[in-house]
Amino acid sequence: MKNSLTTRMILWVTLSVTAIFTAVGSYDYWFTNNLLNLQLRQLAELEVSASETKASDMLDRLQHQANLTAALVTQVAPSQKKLESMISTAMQQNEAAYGMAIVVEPNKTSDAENKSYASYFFRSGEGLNFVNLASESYNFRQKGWYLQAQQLERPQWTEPYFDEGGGETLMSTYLVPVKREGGLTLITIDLALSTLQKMLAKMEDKQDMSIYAMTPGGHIISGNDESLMLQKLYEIGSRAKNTPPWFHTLIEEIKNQKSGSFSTYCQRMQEDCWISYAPLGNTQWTMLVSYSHASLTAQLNTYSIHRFLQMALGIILLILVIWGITRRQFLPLKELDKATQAFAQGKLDYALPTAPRNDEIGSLTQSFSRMQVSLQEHIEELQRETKQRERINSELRTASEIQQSLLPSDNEINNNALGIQLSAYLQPARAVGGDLYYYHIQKNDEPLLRFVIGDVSDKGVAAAIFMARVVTAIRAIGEQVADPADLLTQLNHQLVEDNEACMFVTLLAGTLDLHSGELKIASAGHPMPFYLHAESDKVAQIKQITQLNGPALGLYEYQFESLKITIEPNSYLFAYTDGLDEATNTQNELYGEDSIIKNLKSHFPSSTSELISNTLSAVNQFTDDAEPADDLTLLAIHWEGAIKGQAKMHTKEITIKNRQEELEQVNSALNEYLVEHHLPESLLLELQLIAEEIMVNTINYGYADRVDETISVLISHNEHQITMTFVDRAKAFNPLELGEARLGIPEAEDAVGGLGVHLVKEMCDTCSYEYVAGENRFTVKILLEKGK
Amino acid sequence: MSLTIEVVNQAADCTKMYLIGRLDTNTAQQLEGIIDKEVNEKTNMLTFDLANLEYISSAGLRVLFKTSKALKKHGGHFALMHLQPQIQKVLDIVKALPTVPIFRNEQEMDEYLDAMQKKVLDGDN
Repeated sequence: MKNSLTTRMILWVTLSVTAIFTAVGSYDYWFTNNLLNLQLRQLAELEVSASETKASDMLDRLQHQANLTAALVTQVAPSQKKLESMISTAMQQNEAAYGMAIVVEPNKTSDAENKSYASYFFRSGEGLNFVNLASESYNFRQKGWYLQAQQLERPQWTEPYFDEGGGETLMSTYLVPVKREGGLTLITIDLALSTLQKMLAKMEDKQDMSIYAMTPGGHIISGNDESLMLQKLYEIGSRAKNTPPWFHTLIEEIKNQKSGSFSTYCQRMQEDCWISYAPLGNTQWTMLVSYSHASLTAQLNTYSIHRFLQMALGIILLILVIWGITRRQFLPLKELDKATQAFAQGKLDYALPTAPRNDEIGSLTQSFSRMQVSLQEHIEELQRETKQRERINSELRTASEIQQSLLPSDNEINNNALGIQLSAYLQPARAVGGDLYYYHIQKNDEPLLRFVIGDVSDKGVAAAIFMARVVTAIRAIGEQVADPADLLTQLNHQLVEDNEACMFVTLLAGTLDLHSGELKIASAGHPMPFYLHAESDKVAQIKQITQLNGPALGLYEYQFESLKITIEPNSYLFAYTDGLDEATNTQNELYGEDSIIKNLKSHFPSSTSELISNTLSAVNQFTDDAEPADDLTLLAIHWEGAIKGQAKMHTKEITIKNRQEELEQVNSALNEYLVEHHLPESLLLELQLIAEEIMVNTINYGYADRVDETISVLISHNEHQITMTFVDRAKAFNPLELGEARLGIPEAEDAVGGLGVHLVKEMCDTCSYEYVAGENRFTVKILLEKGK
Repeated sequence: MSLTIEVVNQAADCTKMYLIGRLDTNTAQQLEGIIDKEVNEKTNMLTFDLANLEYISSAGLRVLFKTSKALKKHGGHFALMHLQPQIQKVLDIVKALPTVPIFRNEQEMDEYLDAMQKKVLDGDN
């Protein structure tokens, strides 16, 4: 599922949407940020100006009260009593005022009747306290505020001081001097610093800011910030080690009663802040507000977090929705995928999903459905055809077996007695073919090998049927005529009749006299055989026997003639059909006669079967397993020539049933043979012993429970040796492969069989075994010249 | 040709058999039957006189092996005498019966038997 369409779709859509969201969100954030910043700044400025207004209001009201009282004193000159009651009333009306004093110092010379006095009212608890400042204990003339007032032309605020004996609190006093005729009348109004501080603190609490009020002399009154309380602004700069660059500018501005604001990094608050300053009306006081950026941006941050969460939630929801939609959309595709895999595994009856919509997937499903139907039909068709082909193949196999049975039952002759060895090989290009071979040993006084090799025109079934006709005719005619030329002539006569299809066959027929080595050979359009002569395993001669060829059989009447030559002992004849010399490789090159000769020369055979296998492996190497174009037939004959010029070979064949009792027949037959041929009687017991051991072994173990089987022994001799060949059709068993018999007294009885074989091996001079065409052939030779 | 067997009981525990003719696959059973009948646990000495045995095959050898083994089992003795050359040859080939005493004539056998008896008597003393 990792690479599924759904996953990729979700991934890509999510990535794209996230990118778009981020871009839009970033712009929105920037824009909103600016807007908010502006709004917050305006809001902060509004707060600052509200605070300024409040503070300056209070100061203004105090100044106004004092000024008003002073004006009254100037205009009306009320009596002390009256004045004191006025002040007391004013105090009650103006809650911000901590205390008020009136000091009258008449000019002693001109205004003698007017006495001097100094009355002070200040708040204490619920009511007002009165203090006579002119008392001995207070002695106002020594106080700083009075000394300052004496110097004043215009009303002025004192710097903060503690009024010991008077208001008994930290305060700043507004002094309004009225100078008249050399005397001084002074009206004062006190602002308790705690009142101002409380007000500032209250404002600070409401807003997230620090507010400082500054006296005309530069003393700082702070709200909640105790550390700066009563510090002198101008001295902070000189005390601190690292004053920021804007600090001195700020002091200048404040001195000049200017207002302004700026943003900077604020060391005290350890963050960015916004600082605003302004003079408080015409009071000569100044207010300074520092507003933390954090409180400004906190709101913005809250907004941003909300904004981000909103976006994240949106994306998650989007993914879910996309996942849901894609799944729903791709579900039919998945089903189709499953169906395809099932098809691939051969489950063609797998139910396809129904196509709910008429979209691309629907149309794809319909196409699949059509494909399924046509595949099913196609496979059924294939199965039908395969069945039919099977039937034809099985018929062809039967035909092939029948054709095989037309050929000699063995493809080998190995007759030591007659000194003849023959191997044949036939490989049809198709199931059945048109090639044929035939051989037969005529065993009479003049043993004769007849052989035929041929090639019917065309291949396949037609050729096979014609081949059958040819072989049958050869068998029939071969019984009657001895000369190969006569065989060809008569065969041709038969084939020419009723040959509407104009089929023809090239044929090579020959006979070999096994006594004299006389070879008669006649050809009907067939290549001549090769002749190999070996003298002490060396190539002495290879030549193709040349002779004028007759026409292929089946075309027109013709009188064939045979060539008659005598071959040397220990020589080979090698006949073939055009499947060999016309074998073609993948480059369309022909194998050719030269290659045959070259191969025969380089691998001189030691037996006919080796000749055949060598030739086959050479031609197979040449064609490199290319499909054979034509039937291939090879026939190799080896004549030992051992009996050439000798007395006639004497042979006798005895056949018995597989019963021990019948051994008597063998015993007497061997006896008769020795007597008949004047062979030494001393051999009898030895021959009998060998025969008994081998035949008993075959009867008891080879045939075991089988009944009515036969064993033959072929006995022959020449002047050198006696040969016995035992032939049976029991299961293949090579006694020579039996391990050496345990000698001495055997432990178990079954080892006695091995003992018998041991006896045979010791008795004879050579023994050999072969399994040919379902027959065990065990040959034993005993030399005569040893004088046995 | 067939096999003729003449049995001579020289003593209660001493038997001699004359085998005349051929000892082959077909006649081996015949000899086996006779031996089963004549030879038992009491037999101390069994001698085959093969003067007139013309032929022996591995089936015949098997009977001789079996008899030799059976006798040895209960301490009996087994001997052959008067072997013809062809019989001798077969025995040579299979290197059979190396421990079996083979006597050329009656005298040799008598000497062997005397020696045996003496051995037994000495053992008793």
